[in-house]
Amino acid sequence: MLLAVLLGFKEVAARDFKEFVMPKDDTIMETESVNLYELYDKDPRLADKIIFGRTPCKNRRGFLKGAGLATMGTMIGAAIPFSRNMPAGFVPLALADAHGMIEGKDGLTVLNDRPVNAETPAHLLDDAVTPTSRHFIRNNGIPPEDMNPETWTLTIDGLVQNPMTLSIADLRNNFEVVTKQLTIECGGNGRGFFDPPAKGNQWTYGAVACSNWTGVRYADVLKAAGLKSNVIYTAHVGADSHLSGEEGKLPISRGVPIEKAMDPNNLIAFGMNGAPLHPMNGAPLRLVIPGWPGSCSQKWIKRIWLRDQVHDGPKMTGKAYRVPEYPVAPGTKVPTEDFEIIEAMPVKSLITFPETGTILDEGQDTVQVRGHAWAGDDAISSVDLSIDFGVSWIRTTLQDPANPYAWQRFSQTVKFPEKGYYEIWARATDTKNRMQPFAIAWNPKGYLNNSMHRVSVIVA
Amino acid sequence: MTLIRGLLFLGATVCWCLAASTGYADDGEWRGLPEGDGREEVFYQCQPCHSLKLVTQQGLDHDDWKETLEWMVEEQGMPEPEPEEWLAMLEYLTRFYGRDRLAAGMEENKAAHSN
Repeated sequence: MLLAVLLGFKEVAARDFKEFVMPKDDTIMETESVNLYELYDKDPRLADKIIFGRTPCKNRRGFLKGAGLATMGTMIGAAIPFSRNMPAGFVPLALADAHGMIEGKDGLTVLNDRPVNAETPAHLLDDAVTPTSRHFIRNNGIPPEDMNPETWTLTIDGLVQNPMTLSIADLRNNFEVVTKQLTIECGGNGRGFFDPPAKGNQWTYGAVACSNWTGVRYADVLKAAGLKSNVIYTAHVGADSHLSGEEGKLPISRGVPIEKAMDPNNLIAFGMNGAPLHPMNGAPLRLVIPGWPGSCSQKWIKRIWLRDQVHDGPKMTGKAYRVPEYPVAPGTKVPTEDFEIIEAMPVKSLITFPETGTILDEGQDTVQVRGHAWAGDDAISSVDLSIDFGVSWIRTTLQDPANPYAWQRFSQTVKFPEKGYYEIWARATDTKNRMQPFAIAWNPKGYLNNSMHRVSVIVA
Repeated sequence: MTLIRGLLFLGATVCWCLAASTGYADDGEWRGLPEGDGREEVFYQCQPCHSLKLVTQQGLDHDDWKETLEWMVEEQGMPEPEPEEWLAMLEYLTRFYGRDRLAAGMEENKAAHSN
């Protein structure tokens, strides 16, 4: 049986199939549902190349390697011991029903299909609590094949008095289980607006979400493990594997200062909106460290290692999840040693209604604007709107957060004075009196874009 | 009236199919990589580990592409290309996926003409 996980990869297959087959057979243009077998029927070698990266003619390491093999394995739900014997163009029987989209996700924009990275359009984030189907996906590597919650274990080791390996049942039984609504935002959300462009997935607005997470407090587990006095940093290891397929190579392993880890609002989570985690959001177990870049919230968490130095795993060092220590002009080349690790995310807001590009019905001159605002480790004190390009501002009604680190809902009805084109701008202010800027504070890797969200409205 | 409408509809459909066909014929095999020296090298080197969507989203200058390719070889497990392949990739990427995002502009033009 296919793991639900895989559906991200099936989606790739479906789209590739469509793009590839259309010119040869117009009747297929009508077909929504596609099948891997049909793709292989058309041109097995190209199908191999596209879907699994099997490149018999050029590949120096055999025809099925790295991520290609892992992708096929993931799609089937098991490793393929005799993969080397499979002829080019061979489709494993288990893939017969591969078609469709990312199962359990709805309306997401796919930025990258291998690995799957997908964001949610702003107007689909209108719910107070983000449904699982609308929670963005950010993957650095290949999701694990095995996400069985019954056999999953988490190891706490390194500089602790009592190293331990816990099942999810152990976590449930030995620690208080809590549910919190927590904001997770990718550090690169908004990168797509950088000029000059910055390297990486070109996220626009939707790599942010605020779902209900259920689990145990990260701090409670660390206390039970008994931190030694010289611990300064955590190191998080997940079960995802590197895109190259290289055995034992980690795609990403980040951590946080121990003071942040001990904050009572962080969770080791096994529940998402009252159900198990979505496979693409880290099933069956993940960290949720709200308010900091999403990469601190390691998915598919297997090991927490306590260290007496700043963790130096993949994407902790170099320029990853770092910004220059000083402001730089757009396009500046900054020496690696001048970068510092991003900690709390900045104050930000998102208009979730109306959708940008809305044309009001004739005679309608008001609209109830609503959205969310959040501010890293802090809370929001106010959100203001402008409909006249920032000349004047309208205070909104702002709700308290459901709990610390939940985003806050704002709403306000605005009235447009006459027909024409308008932009609604939202500007949040946090409890430390920091406001969202109009312009982007450019940095080489495209992080921390908290410039104001603008939506356009035409009054007819 | 109905006949004229029908003919117009038929004509539009044929045009649309032709436009769609040529567009996909270009894009399908190379996953959107425009024709040019270095396309094959980019396709075969990048595709085994990640989608070309990760490539075609970018807009980097020569130095950043160079750094990216070095990082792919040194840290991300990309088999080291032959020197001339390396150069072809770098030039191709800088040309089409440079700061001006030439390839994206070409896509927009194509879309505008087929509408």
